[in-house]
Amino acid sequence: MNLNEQQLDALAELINIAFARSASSLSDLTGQRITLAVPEVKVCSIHELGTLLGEFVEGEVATVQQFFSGGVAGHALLLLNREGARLLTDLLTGDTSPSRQIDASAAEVLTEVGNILLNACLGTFGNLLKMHISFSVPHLHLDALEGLIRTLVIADEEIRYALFVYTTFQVKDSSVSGYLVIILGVTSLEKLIEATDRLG
Amino acid sequence: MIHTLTELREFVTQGVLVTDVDLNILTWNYWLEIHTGHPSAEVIGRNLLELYPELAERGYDEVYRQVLAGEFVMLAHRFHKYLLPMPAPGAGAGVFPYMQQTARIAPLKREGLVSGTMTIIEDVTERVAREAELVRQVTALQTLQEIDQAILTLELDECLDRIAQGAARLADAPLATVAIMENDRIILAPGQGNVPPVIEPELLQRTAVKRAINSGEAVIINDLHALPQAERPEPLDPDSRSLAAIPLLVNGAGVGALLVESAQAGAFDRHRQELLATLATRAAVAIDNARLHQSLRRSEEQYRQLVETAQEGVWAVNTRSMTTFVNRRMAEIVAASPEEMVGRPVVDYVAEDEIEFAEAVFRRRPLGKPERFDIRLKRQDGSQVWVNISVASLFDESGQYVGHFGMVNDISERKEAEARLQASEERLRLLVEYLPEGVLLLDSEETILLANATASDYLPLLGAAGEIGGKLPQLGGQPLAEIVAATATGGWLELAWGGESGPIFQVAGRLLPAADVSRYLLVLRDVTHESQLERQLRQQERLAAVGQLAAGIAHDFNNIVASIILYTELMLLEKPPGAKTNERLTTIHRQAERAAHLVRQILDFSRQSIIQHKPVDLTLLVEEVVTLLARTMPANVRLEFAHDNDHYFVSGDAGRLEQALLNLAVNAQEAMPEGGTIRLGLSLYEPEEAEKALLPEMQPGSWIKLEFSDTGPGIPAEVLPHIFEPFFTTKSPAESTGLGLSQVYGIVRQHGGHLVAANLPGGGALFTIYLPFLAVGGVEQGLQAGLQETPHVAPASPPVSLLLVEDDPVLRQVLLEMFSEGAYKVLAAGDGREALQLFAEHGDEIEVVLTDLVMPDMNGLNLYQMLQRQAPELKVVLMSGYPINDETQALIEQERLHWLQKPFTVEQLAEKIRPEKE
Repeated sequence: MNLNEQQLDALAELINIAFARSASSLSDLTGQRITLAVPEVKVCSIHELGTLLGEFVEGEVATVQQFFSGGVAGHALLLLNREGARLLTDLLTGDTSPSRQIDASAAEVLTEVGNILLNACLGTFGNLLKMHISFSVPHLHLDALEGLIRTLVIADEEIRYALFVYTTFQVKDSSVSGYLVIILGVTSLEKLIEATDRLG
Repeated sequence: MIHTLTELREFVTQGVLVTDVDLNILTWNYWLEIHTGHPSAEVIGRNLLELYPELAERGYDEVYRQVLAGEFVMLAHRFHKYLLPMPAPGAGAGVFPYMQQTARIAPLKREGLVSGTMTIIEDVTERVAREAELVRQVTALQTLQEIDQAILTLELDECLDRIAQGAARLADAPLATVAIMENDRIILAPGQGNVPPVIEPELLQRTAVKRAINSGEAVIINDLHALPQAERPEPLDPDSRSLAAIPLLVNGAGVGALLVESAQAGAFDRHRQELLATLATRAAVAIDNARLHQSLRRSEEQYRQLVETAQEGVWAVNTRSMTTFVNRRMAEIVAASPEEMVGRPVVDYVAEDEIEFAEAVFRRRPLGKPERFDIRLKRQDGSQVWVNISVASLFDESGQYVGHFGMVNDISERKEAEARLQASEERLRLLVEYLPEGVLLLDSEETILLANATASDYLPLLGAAGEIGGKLPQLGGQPLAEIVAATATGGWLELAWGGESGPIFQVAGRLLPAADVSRYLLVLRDVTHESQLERQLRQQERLAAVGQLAAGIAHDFNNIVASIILYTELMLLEKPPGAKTNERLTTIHRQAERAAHLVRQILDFSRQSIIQHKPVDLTLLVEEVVTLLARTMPANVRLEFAHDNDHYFVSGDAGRLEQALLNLAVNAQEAMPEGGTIRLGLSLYEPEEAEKALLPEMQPGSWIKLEFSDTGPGIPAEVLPHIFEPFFTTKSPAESTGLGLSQVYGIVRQHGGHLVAANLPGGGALFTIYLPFLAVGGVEQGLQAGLQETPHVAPASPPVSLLLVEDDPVLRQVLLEMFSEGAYKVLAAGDGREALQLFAEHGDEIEVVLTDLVMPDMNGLNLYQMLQRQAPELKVVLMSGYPINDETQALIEQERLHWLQKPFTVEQLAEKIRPEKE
C-alpha cells in the first residue's frame, strides 16, 4: 500500500503531536528539557522491515514492546540499539558514572520511557479514530536484531504494514536516535489513513 | 476463583493494591500490611489519595487519571524512587530513607470499560543497593584499570604523580601523594592537594609514612582526633581527620608509601583500604619499572654518549642488512649524515667490487663468530675509503639472531702508507734483483737471507750453494769470516775459482749493524772479462813499449845497415868473384840484410812500418803463398787450402800480408819437425752484436777470416798468452829471434785486423786472422790504380839526372859512389837549403830528387813541398829508416811521393829512382 505525500504529512503531524506530549511528560519526569525531533515517517511492508532496520542497527537491540487492541490493533515498539539504550538511560537519569550494562533499574527506565512514548502515539491515534484502544503491559526485550525481526514477521492471515518513525531524543547536548515502529494490519492501516484523510 | 486470586495476592512478594474508578481501596494485600504498617481492615474502602495525600502532591493523581483513561503506566524506580512511602527494609535501612520501589499501574476493565485500577509495587531496595555496589565496584575497577594504564609510564616523576592522583580518586580524598625514601629524607610526589616536596628528617619519625615503610604494614587511621596525642602521626594537612599510609613493597622491601588524607573521619572503609592496597601493589611494580627504566636510560645515555663520542664508527644492522643505527663518526667516514644512512641497505655504502664479499659476511653473521677485515666503503660523493671493520652479531634472549654491528676504523692513511711502502719495497727489490752485481744478505750465522738473481748465478761459479736459508761458510775457497774481515774497511777482494781459465770475482762486504742482530751484505762482481781485457791491455802496452824502443833506434840503425849493405854490394861489384874476400863480403852482406830484416820485423810488429794500402785479392795471395811454400817446405809437410772460390778483397799491403803468412808457415814447420799438414782456410765472417764478446775489440760487420792451422803438438797453455810478445821464444836464441809471430801480429793489427791463437781440440795450433772485408767499390778503384803502376819494371838505360839530399855524410858518400858506378848524373846536397839552391841552378836538368826524410832544419817533406811549388811534376823519392808520420803516409798513398825504406839494396834503389816519364 502506497501512501501519498499528503497522507504521510498528515501522519507525521499526528505523531508530532504525540511526541510533543511525550517530550513534555519526560521533561516533567526527569526535570530536564527533553525534545523529540520532528519525525520522519515511512510506511512499508512488514517484509521490508528487516532491510530498513538493518541499515540502522546491527547486533543487539533494545525494544520496548506493547500490543494494543480495540478499534485498531497491532504491535508498537520503540527500538534503540544497545549503546543508544544505555546512553538514553544515563541521560534521562542524570547518571554521571556511565554504566556498562543495562541492569534491572535501567530496563525499568527504558520501559517507562517506551511506555510514555507509545501511550502518547496510540492515545493520539485512538482520539483521532474516536476509538478506544487497550494496551498490554510494556516489556523490554534485549535481543539480536535478527531474532526480533523473526518474531515480528511471523506470518499471519492478514497482510501487515509497518509505520516507521525515525525518532531522536535530544537531552542537553546529547542526542539518541531510535525508531518507533507501529505494526498494523491492512484494515487498521486503512482505517488510520481514512481518519487522517478526514483530518485533511 | 476469586478466592484463589485473593490467595495469590497474599502470596506474592509484591504489594498489590486495587481500587475502584474513584480510587477507593478495594484490595490491600498482606505485603502492604507488613510494609506500610496499615492493616487491610483499616484501609479497605478508604480513598487512596486521602490515605496518601502526598501522592497528589507528587503528581501521581494524574498518573491514576491516565490509568483510568485506559493507559498502562510504568513507574521506574530510577525516576520515582517510590510510590507509597514505606520504611526501607534490611540492609537498605541505613542507606535509603524509604523503601525503593518500582510500580506498575494498570486499568481494570469490566465489559470493555475501566472499572478500577490495580497497582503492583515491588521492593527494589536490595536490588538497587546491589546495583549501586556493582556500579561502585565496576567504577573502582575501571578507576584502577585507568590508574594501571596511567602509571605504566616509564617517567618516574610522572608515574609517582599519577599514582598519587589515582589514590586520591579511589579514596575520594583531597590529599594524596607518594612518598619515596631517599637517603634519610622522604621525597613527595606533588600528587593531589597541598603537598610539600619533602618531609624533613626531624619530622620523619612522626609521620605515618615512615611507620608504614618500616613495618611493611598499612597504617589506617579513620579518626586522628580519637588517638592520644602521643600516638597520633603527623598529617601533611593539619586539618585532616583520616589518614592512610600504604607501604610500597618491592620484593618485600619498602621503597616508599602511598599517603592519602581526608578531612572527614572514617574516610577509609574496608572497601577503600582494599582499593588502596591494590593500587599500592601495582604502584610498587610501576615505580620499580620506572626506576629500572630510569637507570637503564641513564646507562643507555652513557652508552649513547660513549658511542657518539667514539673515535671508531659504530654501525648497527638488522637481519636484512639494513642500517638501524650509526654514530656520527661512522657517518663522517662515508661523508653522509646518520639520518641519511639509517634505513638504507649497508651495500649502498660498500664499494661495488666489495659487495660480494660484504654479502658473504652477512650470510655468516647468524653463526655469530666475530670477524675482522679490511674493506673499501663507498662514500656519499662516490669516492672510496679503506676501513677496518670488527663485526659482532646480536642475539635476543631466545638466542634468535637479530642483527649485527661493526666497529669501523678509517685506515686510508695506513693503506696509502702500506701501498707506498710496498711500491718502494718493490722498486728496491727490482733494483736489487736486476742489479748486474750479485747481492747477498747474510745473518751472523752465515745464513743466506737474501740473494738476488745475479748472486744465485754467481754462487755456483764460486763453489757455493745459493739457497736462501742455506749456509754460506765459504766463497771461492775462502772462509766467509776472512772475506768479511778483509773487506771490512772497504775495497774489493778478488776471488778466483776453477784455475787459470776459471771466472774471477770481486767481492765487497759490509757489516750492517742492527739493534738485535748483525747482518752482512756481500756484493759480488764478475770481473773475468775485465781481467782478461786488462791482461790483454797490459800485454799490448808491453808490446807497444818494445815497438817504441825499436822504432827509436830504427833510423840510425837503418842508416848504419844501409851503409854496410851498399858498401858491401859496391865491393862485391868491384872485386873479381870467387875470391875468399868475395865470400866474406857476401857473408857481411847477408848478415847486414838479416839485421835490416830484424829491424823490419820490429817495425812491423810495432806497427810503425809503411803500409801501402791497395786492394788485395786475398784468395789469390794465399794461393801464391801456398805455391811458394809447396816449393820451399820439406816434403813431409802437406799444404791444404780450403776456400769457396770467392775472391776476398782486403785493403792492404800484399807484401806485408805475404810476410805474415810466411812467418806463420815457418812457425808451423818448426812445430812439426816430423812433418804434418798445414791447412789454410778463407771464409767470410759476419759477427752479430751478441758475439762481440768473443773478440771484444771487433766491430760488427763483414770480416774475412783467414785460418791457418798445423798438426803439431799445439801451444802449451802457459805459453799461449805470450806468443805474440817480441823476443819471446821457446827455442834457443840461436834458433829464433822470437820476432816471427810478433811481426804477424803487428802486420795484422796494422791492417785493422785481429789475430787469435788457439789450440785445436785434436791437437795442433790454430791462428785465425780477421781482416776487414773490402767492399766492391774500393776494390775496383784500387785495381785501376794498381794497373797503372804495373808497366814500370824495366831498368833505366839513359843516364838519369839525380839530386841526392842526405845529411848523413857516410851514407851520402856511399850513395854518391853507388850512382857513379851506374848511369846517373848526380848532384849531392847535405841539407834542404843546399838542395833548393842546387835545384834553382840545375832545375831544368834534374829528373828525380832522392832525399832523406829526417834532416835538421828542413826535413824531406818540407823540401818536397818547396820543390812541388816550382816543379809539380818532379819525381821525389823519400828515404827513411825511421817510421813516417801520417801526413807523409797520406802523400805516399796518393802516389805523389815515393818511398824507400832504409836500408835498401842497389836494386831497390834503382827501381825507385827510375824516372816517371821517358
